[in-house]
Amino acid sequence: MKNSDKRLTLLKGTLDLLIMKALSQGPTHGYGITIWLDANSSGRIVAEDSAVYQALHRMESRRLIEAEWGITENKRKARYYRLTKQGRAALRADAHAWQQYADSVSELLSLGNASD
Amino acid sequence: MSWLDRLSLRPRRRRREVDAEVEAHLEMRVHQLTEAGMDEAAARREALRRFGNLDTARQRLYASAKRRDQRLRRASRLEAVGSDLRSGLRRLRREPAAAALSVATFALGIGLTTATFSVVDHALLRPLPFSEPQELVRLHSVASDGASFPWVSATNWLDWSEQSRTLESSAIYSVFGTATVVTTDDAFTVPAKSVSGRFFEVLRTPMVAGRPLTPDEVRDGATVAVVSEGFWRRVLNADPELAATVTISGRPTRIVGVVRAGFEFPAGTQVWLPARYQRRGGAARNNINWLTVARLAPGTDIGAARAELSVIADGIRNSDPAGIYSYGVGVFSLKEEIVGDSQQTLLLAMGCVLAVLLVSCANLAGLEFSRRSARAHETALRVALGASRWRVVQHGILEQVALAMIGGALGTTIAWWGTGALLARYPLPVPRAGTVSMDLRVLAFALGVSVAAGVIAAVLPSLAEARTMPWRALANARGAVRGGRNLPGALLVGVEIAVAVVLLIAGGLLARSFTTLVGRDLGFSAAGVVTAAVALTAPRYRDAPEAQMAYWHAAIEGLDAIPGVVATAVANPIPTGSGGRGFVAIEELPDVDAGADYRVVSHDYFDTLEISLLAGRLFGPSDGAGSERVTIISRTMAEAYWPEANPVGKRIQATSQESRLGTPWLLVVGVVEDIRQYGFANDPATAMYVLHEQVPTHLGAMTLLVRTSGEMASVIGVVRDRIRLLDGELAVDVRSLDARLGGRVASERLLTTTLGLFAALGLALAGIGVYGLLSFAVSQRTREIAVRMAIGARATDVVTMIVRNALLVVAAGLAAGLALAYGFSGLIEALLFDVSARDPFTFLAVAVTVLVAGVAAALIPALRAASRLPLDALRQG
Repeated sequence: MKNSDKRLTLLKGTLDLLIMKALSQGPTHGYGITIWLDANSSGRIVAEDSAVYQALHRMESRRLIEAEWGITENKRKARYYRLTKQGRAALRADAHAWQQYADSVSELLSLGNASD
Repeated sequence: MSWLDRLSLRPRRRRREVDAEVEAHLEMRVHQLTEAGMDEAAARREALRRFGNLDTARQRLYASAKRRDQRLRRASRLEAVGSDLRSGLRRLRREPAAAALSVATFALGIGLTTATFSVVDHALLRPLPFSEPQELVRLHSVASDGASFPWVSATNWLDWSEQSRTLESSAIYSVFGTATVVTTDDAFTVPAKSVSGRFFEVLRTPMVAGRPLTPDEVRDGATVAVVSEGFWRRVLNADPELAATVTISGRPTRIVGVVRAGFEFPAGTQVWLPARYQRRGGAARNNINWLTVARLAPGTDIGAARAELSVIADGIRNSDPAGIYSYGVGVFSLKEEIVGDSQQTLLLAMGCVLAVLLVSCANLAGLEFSRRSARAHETALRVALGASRWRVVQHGILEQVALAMIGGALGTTIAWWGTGALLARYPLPVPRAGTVSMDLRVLAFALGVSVAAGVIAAVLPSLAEARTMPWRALANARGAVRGGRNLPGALLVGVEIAVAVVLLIAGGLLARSFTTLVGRDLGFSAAGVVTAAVALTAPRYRDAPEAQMAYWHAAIEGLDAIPGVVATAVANPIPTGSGGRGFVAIEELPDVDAGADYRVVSHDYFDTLEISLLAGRLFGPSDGAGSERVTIISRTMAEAYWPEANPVGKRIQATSQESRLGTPWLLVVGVVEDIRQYGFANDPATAMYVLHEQVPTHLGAMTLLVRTSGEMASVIGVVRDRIRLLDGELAVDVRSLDARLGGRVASERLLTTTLGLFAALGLALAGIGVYGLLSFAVSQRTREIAVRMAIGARATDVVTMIVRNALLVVAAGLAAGLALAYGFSGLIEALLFDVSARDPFTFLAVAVTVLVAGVAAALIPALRAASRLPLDALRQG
């Protein structure tokens, strides 16, 4: 399905939220995050890799995540990211806000659906 | 690696890191794809596709990485500042004595500076609290010879303001004024001004209750008044309805408005009454009795106003040539007029207090030098382990800034409380002294000064600390500051001494000037004279010259009867009081426009004040109400208009002052010595004296004078009682003449005292600095001294050596200070009386004082060092 255009219009900040969620499962590198997104959304959510890295830089500057170089299982060097305490708190808050938003929109959209 | 190198390497390293991360990502994806079965080339293509356009992506990532690094660096720097400040506070607990000394020194310096600034801020920077103060101006009368006076005549002002477009509004108010307020239990005088209708409109004075006077009320001469907030609270119990009627100057007056505190104009006024003036052409244009305040119309400036008003003045001059003061109109910024003389004084005070602060910072810096060399070991370790030298400097400075801010907070609090209390007791002769308070500007200033003081006190020691050579410090456990001579410390002390010298010279010059000033011959003898000023404001005296005359007679008789009284008189004005000055016509010199101070006195005036007679005679029993009009003139007047002849027997007229009496010819019967009417600072002017009995139109308000051999305080009390008994409805102001004179030199006395205090403080601090420097130097060279003594040096040799080193520093500082004082002597010139700003006596005295103090401060550690046994010293070293 050529829905990649539609899917890519992630609302600003949603990518950040998803990245934080990914990292909440454990520290990983940038590639690992793209794999997580791909796998757990059955390929529906696709983000351009460079966009992910830009988001990582942004969040790192706000101290929501911190980074250091490490070694992968395949003996490669990779830059690993990890949530900070602030990041964890931000994830909780932002996820909650997003959930409320999604619920409100769903409710509004489901009005008058009986007649469809 | 220097910071410059690091700076240029940063972008390259960052880019390499970004590239490495991107490469790693691509490799991992290629690996995964090839594991899933793709061939290498296709996998690579797919990986690149998934990534996005590599080149643009790379650029964007370089940019976002740069932003990230900048933000992180900024955040960590702020954190470092925070932690350094906290470590400064920790030091307070670890070394309470040293920290307490620092805090106390900062508190003193910053507190004094803030207090001075709060006064300067109000007096110099914002002396007019009204809205748009830059629009407010004052009008001057300019005479035909170009001389400009800040006073105007009512008629001229009416013409100017009616014809002017550049002045949006203007008003006049009386120059002098008090009003007598009579309540049920008391009668007292308050400073009061008569004002024209738009006075409050010009200033846009905010009111707390009621409303301002209206032009109609002024025109009709209504018995209404506006009062100050202080008056309202004290006398009217802050009644918001303003229901009460108060007797002011003999009239029951309705209070219609209350001016908000801090907005009294002129400062100190408590009651504003409707002014009474008339438009009268001709010579009346020369009765310049009023001060003005005007507001420029929006869009115009002073230049435009001046131009317009000169045209108007020309018009007046052409239509009414008798007006000598109508030749021109001067327009000046009101703020500058108000600030006037205080400016130099205040700036001098500010400069001195900053100098004292500088000296105390220098002292603390010196202290820090010794402290930090003691912990050089620790610092060296830190540097060796990788701490950047800049961090060391920053840490050192912030430590001191933390202490400075604590000291500053303490000092400002004390200053806040102290300044208020001090000003209440000793009002300063500067604008708005009554409303000085610690507002936001002053607090911001205090904060800024605290930070600056901390930085100044720490910068040199911190830089020195950062240059510590790690290996040297680690090897030699004690003292690793570069060089044994401690040049920076000596430099600091030298600067301190120079500053102290400048302060001492300024203080000394002012002290000499002050003593010269109050030692001047006044022309009369003030000691033992009590004055009682009375204004006959009760209704029974209005337009009743006989009643007025009878009062003064009764008063003189009553006071004469007091035991111990030697002579009594009444006069207006008395010395230190202000009186009228007018034109004088001289019979034999019809073309001369003479002028003289006009003084109304009783027979015994000259005896009471011990003013000498130079020619002719004084007023005697033959002079009285019905007899020939006589006058006595002053020396200056005699010399001015009769340089060769004897003025006795000549005739003059007081054309300005006696027009209502028909301007009769007065016979000059005597010449008396000049007096300094306005206090020590002013020179005598031409003056004429008339007998009070002969001028019934001038008896409304006068001052009684009593010369007594008794004890002043008790006589003052008796005088007050007797006057109050004569007529309870009149208020009387009783003071010794000496007290009035003292009031005249209040600002000079204040300046001299303040500067003297600062100078003493500066010297004390510099002395401490010398002591500290020497102590440190001695402790550094303990081994050397011990060795010297062991091989045979005598104690005196050691002492001499140490003191000689100290003297070098003291002498250098002294020379620098003397040169500075000599070079900047012009700055203080204007404040001195009869003393040159380069007075050699003062310079010499200060030089000797500083040398002696320096030697004394150096002797203590020197003697201590010499008294130690060599073995002890060696063991310790």
